[in-house]
Amino acid sequence: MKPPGPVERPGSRRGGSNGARDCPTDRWCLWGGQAGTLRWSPSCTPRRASSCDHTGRSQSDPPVRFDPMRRSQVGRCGCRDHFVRKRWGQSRASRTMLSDDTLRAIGTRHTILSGKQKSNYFAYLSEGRQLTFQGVFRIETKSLIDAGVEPGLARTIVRAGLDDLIARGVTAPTHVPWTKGPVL
Amino acid sequence: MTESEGERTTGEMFAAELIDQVRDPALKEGLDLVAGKYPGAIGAAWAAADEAERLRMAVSNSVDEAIFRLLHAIDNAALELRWVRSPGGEPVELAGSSDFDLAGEYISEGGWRDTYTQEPHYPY
Repeated sequence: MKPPGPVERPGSRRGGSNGARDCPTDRWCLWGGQAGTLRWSPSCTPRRASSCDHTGRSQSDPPVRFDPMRRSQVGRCGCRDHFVRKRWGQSRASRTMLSDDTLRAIGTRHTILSGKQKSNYFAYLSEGRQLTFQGVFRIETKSLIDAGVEPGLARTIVRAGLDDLIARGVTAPTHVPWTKGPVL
Repeated sequence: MTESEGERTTGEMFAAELIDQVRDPALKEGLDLVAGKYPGAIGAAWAAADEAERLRMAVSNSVDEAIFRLLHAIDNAALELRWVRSPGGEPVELAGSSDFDLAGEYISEGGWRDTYTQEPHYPY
């Protein structure tokens, strides 16, 4: 196994603005995970920092990716579909997911993560706070970590999800997960 | 949608969807548990359990996984199911019928499973 490539510190940017950097490949790793906005493309595959050589090739871990939801492929805690969901058919085309295989590869399971998400969103709602993308980022990241995912990878995955939503034109959460109502 | 799509009847299409969404994923998770590959609290409990306890865990987990998958498929309208609360009553769409998503309601700590079951169950 090759040793991990160098990890840039915030401030030593490679591109973009606001401290954003890209992995020097056409794929993702934790290279740019410290600050700024990470880019997302269908080929992006966030990986564990310990195994990433910044080449886009996985050395030990299967790729982590979001897949489009299809009827035969129910969404699985994609950490970015819950908070923009309305009803099936209205937003299904833009909903994505982490597959069971991906959840398994990053060290958790759908049942574990789902329970953590509900607990964390419920705690958030109980405080009467307004749901923002920042709040979603914190809740979803905490949920992944609580479910056993490595913190750095959890942050990268959630950021990827949010960036993709923003790229699709979503400007704010419209739905509080596990509630009928719209965002508070 | 007509009664059949191609060669398959509605019943066959429902069966295929049910197995794809519920049966197979639940079975896969159960096999992971008995192989010692399941993380979290239940994975730790499995590692510490004796043979008799593992048997109880495997059965309980398989049931919970299947119910979770069914509810999740309903939540996401992969299976759009309706329920009649009493004979002759109006069918109620299950998706959105609870304050929270059905799957999360079932599996979370303090959720439906914890509240209503009289049988052994294990935290995830």
